Amino acid sequence: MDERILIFLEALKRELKGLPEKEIQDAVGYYSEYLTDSLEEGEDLDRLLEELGPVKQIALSVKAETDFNETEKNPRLSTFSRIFKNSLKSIKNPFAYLFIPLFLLIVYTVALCFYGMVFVCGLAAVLSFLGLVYEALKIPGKFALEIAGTLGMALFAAGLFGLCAYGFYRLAGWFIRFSSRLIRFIRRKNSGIYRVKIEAEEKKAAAKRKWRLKLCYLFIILGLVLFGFSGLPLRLFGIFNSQIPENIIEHTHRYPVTGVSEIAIYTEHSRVRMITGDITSIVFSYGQSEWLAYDLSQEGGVIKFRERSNGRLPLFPLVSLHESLTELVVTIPEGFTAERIDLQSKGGHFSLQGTGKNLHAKTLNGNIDFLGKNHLSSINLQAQTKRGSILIDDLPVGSEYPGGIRYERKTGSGNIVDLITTGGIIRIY
Amino acid sequence: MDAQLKKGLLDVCVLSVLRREDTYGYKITQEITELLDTSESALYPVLRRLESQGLLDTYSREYSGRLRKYYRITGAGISRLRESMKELSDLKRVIDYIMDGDTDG
Repeated sequence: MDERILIFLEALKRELKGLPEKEIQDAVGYYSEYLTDSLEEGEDLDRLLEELGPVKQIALSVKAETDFNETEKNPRLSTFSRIFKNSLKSIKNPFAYLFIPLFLLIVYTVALCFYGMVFVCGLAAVLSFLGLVYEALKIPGKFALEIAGTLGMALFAAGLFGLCAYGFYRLAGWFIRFSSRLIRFIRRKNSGIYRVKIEAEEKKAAAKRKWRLKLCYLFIILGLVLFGFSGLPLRLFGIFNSQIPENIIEHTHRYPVTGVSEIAIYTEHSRVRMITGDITSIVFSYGQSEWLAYDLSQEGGVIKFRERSNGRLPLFPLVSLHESLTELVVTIPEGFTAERIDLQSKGGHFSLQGTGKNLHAKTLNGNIDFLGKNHLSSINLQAQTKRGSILIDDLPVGSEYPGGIRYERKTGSGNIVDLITTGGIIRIY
Repeated sequence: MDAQLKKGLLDVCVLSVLRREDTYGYKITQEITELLDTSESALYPVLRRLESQGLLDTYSREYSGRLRKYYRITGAGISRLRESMKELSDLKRVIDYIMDGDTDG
C-alpha cells in the first residue's frame, strides 16, 4: 500500500481514538478501501487526499455520526455530552452561543433529576423489600398467614418501586435521545427529529425491556396475591378501624412484698395505673391484646414487667393505634415503699396514685396523672414535658426551657418523683 | 446547490444508487459526486447512518486478492426510498410550475 495512504489511515486512527474499536476499524477500513479502489481506477492520490479534506474534519463527522447512532440505541448522558462538544465545534452562528449554556443546563438538570429518581426508587425498592422481609422473619412461625402477607407486601413494594425506577430510567433515556435528535435536527444532518424504526433492533430492545418489566409485574402480582390471600389486609383494616382492641385476655400475678425493693415496668401501648390497696402482695393485672405479649419476672428484689409485640403485626413500631386502650394495673399494699419504681412507656398514659416515693415515670406519647398533691411538701418533684403542659389542679405551672416546660419543687427530702413526657400533659391532683 | 437541500438529498441518492445494484464505497462516491457537488468525505457518515438505521446492510466479497465491502439496500431502505420519491414528486410539481413560469415569461 502506498505510504501516503498508510500515513493518512494512521492519522485517522489517532483522531478517532475514544470510539469503540469496531467503529474505528469500520471507518479506517472504509477509507483504506476507498483510497485503494480509487488508486486502481488511476486517480491521483495527492489530489484525492486533498479532496477528502483534513483528517480532523473527517474524524469529527465520523465521531458525531457514531455518537448519534449510539444515543439512538443506548441513550447515555456521557454520549450526549460528546455530541454536544462535537457539535459546538461546527457552530458558526454567534447567537447560538447564547442559547447553548441554557440548553445544556436544562438537559443536564432534567436528565440528572430523572437519574436521581431512578436511584431513589431503586433504593426504596431494595430497602422496603429487605425491611419487610426482616419484619416477616420476626413473626413467630405459628402466624403463617401473617408471614405470607408480609412477604407479599415486600414483593409488592419491591415491584412497585422497581417499576417506578424503571419508568424514570426510560424517561431519562427518552429525554436524552430527544435532546440529541434536536441537536441533530439543528445541524440538519438528518431530515427530521424522527427515526426509521428498525424492526429487528426494536424487537431486541423490547425483549430486553420486557424481562425487567415482567419481573416488576411478577413481583407486584405475586405480592398482591400473597398479601390478599393471607387475610392480612382484613386484619390490618380491622385493627385500624376498631376503636377498642378485641379478644383481650386478662392476666393476674401476685408477688409477696417481702424482699421487693424495685419495680421496673415498660409498656409499648398499654396505659399503666398504679393504685394502693388494702392488700398484702403486689398485684399485676394485665389485659393482653392480640398483638402484644409480656414478660413478668422477679430477680432478687426486682420485679420486672415488660410488654412487647408478639411479632404478629408487621411494622409494629409504626403502629400507634390502640395506645392506652389496654391497661396494666399495679396494686401496691398501703404503706409499702420501694427503693425505686421505674415506669416507662412509648404510647401509654400513666395514672399514679398513692404516696409515690422514688418514682421515675417516663412516657413518649402519654399523659401523666399524678394523684399526690397532698404529698408535695414531702417529695422532690421534677416534671417536664416537651409539647404538653403541666397542671396542678388544672392550673398551669412551670417555666419554659429550651426543651419545653419544666416544673421543679425541691424540699430537701430524699423522696424523688420524676415525671417526664414528650407529647403529653402532666396533671397533678 | 443549497447545502441544506444537498444534505437532504444525499440519503435518497445513496439509496437509489444501491437500488440499481449492490456496490462499494468508491463507486457510490463516484456516482453521487457526479450528481451532487459534495465533499468526498461526506459519504462515509451517511453510509454509516443508513446502515445503523437498517436501510442498508453490507457484505464482503473478494476482489483481486482483497476483501471489498459491498453495500446492499434492505426492504426498509426500499420503502424509505419510495416515501422519499413520493415527497420528491410533489416537489417536482412545484419545480415544474416554477420552470414553466420562467419559460413562459
